[in-house]
Amino acid sequence: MTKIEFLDTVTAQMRCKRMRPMISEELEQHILDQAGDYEREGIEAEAAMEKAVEEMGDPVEIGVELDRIHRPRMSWGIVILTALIALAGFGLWMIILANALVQGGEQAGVLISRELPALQDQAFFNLIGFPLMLIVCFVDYSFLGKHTKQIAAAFLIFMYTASWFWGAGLYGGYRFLSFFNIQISTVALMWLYLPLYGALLYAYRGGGWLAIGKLCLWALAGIFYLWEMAASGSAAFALGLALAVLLSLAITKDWYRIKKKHVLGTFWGIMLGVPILLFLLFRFGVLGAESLSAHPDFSYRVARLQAFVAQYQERNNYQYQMTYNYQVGIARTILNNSELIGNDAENLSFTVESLPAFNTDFSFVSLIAGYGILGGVLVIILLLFLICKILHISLSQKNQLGMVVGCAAAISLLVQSLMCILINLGLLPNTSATLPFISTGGTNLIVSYILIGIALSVCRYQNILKEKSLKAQESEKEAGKIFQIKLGGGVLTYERK
Amino acid sequence: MDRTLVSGSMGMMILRLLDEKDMYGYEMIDTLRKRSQNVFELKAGTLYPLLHNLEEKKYLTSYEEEALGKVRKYYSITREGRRHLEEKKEEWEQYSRAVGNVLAMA
Repeated sequence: MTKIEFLDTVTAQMRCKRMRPMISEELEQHILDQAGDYEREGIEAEAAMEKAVEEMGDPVEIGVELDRIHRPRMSWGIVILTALIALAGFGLWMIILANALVQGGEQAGVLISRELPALQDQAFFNLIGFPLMLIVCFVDYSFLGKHTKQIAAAFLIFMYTASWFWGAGLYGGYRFLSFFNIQISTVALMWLYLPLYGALLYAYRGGGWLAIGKLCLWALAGIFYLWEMAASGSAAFALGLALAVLLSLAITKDWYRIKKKHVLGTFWGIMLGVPILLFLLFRFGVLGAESLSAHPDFSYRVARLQAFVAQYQERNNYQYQMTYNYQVGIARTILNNSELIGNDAENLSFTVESLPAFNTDFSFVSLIAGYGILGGVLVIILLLFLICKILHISLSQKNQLGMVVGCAAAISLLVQSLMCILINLGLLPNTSATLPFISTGGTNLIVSYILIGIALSVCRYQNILKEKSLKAQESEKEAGKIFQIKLGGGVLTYERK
Repeated sequence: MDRTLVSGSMGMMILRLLDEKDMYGYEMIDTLRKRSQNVFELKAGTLYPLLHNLEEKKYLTSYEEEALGKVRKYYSITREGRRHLEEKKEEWEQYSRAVGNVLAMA
């Protein structure tokens, strides 16, 4: 048997095609080493090679054994958890509609004509999203690592230009892309930028301070889109926070060869320090409110922040709450009237009738009202458990691209969930929010499924995607120091002094 | 007593070799042969599945390094691998003590 025959037979046993070149290379090197030693013992080159191949053992046996170790794995736990949470979400809107039907009254008819299409949409997008997640899972994410900058740039260019051409306005920004009859949420779509940013972090490894600078620009390009084009301060804040966490993770992993403690200290110092400083300057009247009111956008945002702060000062002033903090006030009433397990029919009707964003921004409140405090918290625990599971698997990845992309998917879902819960509890200023897999909205649902699909893909190809360590890359650069002279069939290698 | 003691002993020896320094596959077979005075003739066909299995269990990690024009896959023992090695060593010593005791009785 020749060397080539041997290697082909081994790799033919392996189901996972991507693993084959790596195995082949390692075994080939072994055969060459062995043949070299035999030659040194005085055996003729051809016979030495044959003997070395024979020494390897049965290729089929080796191949089968290696196949067993390197079979692609499906993380069924993640799939099942996702399905459970999505079912809980869909079930919640069913319960709420059914409750409205049972309660009857003139409101019920209005409600059903308004919410039934939303329920149908939710069913439709779940049915599309779930298989889509499985398809994404089979996609080899390593292409993200190869043309990262082009893909990320293409994504951003698409978002900016598509908003220009097909952007549909809401609150003075392009919140939707409107194609034919379909409305795609730009804010939801931008969450897909996070895994791309993860790949960018990977692509700039070893780049030092310059890389950090460029990565900040990439981050700002995404945040700027949400702030200026989509005109959503909260979405810009959420994405910015997620990007910052991801960048910090990469710095902690020492990818840029810089003093990570100093950088992280400075970075988070600015991130937290500037808002605190501004707050103090306003608080003690160094900067007046009039300096803000010059910009209409800004004074509006400040007014909303003031309303948020005031809800604590005017906590027991019902009249004030209903005037300036209507949604949060209603949310608090609903939470107070919720059962421990199951729902109170009247409270549930009140939720639907009084809380306009009950199935989007205030999904967490609806969850508690519909399933009871224990039931709602259980769903949230499942969601957080799913996110932690993805984080845990991602962080223990050997493949660094997989690690950062998997973490990006988890962080995206985590930031969305936490923001929604905190807003619903009145602990963050009231803005638009999404509870992944629970809140209605087609784009949100599809994007969440894609994010889970990416995470599944990372788990699936754990040890498969070969990569060179930074050390190996450097030694390759230094390979210029090595001289190779071809003599007859052999290669003489000298190290340059 | 671990049923897979004998088959596990090969993994133990590999871990022990890597406890000293990082090695590539051929180097391990060569070193093992010399150290055991040709008693352990480990076949490559046994070694590589074993190495990949130990790596899967996170007892080993691997990296590629180029030396004099050859790209070699080096294996390195992890902290978990060292802990596992200690356990295996203890089991082995217990086993060989027991065998020794029984033989001494005769």
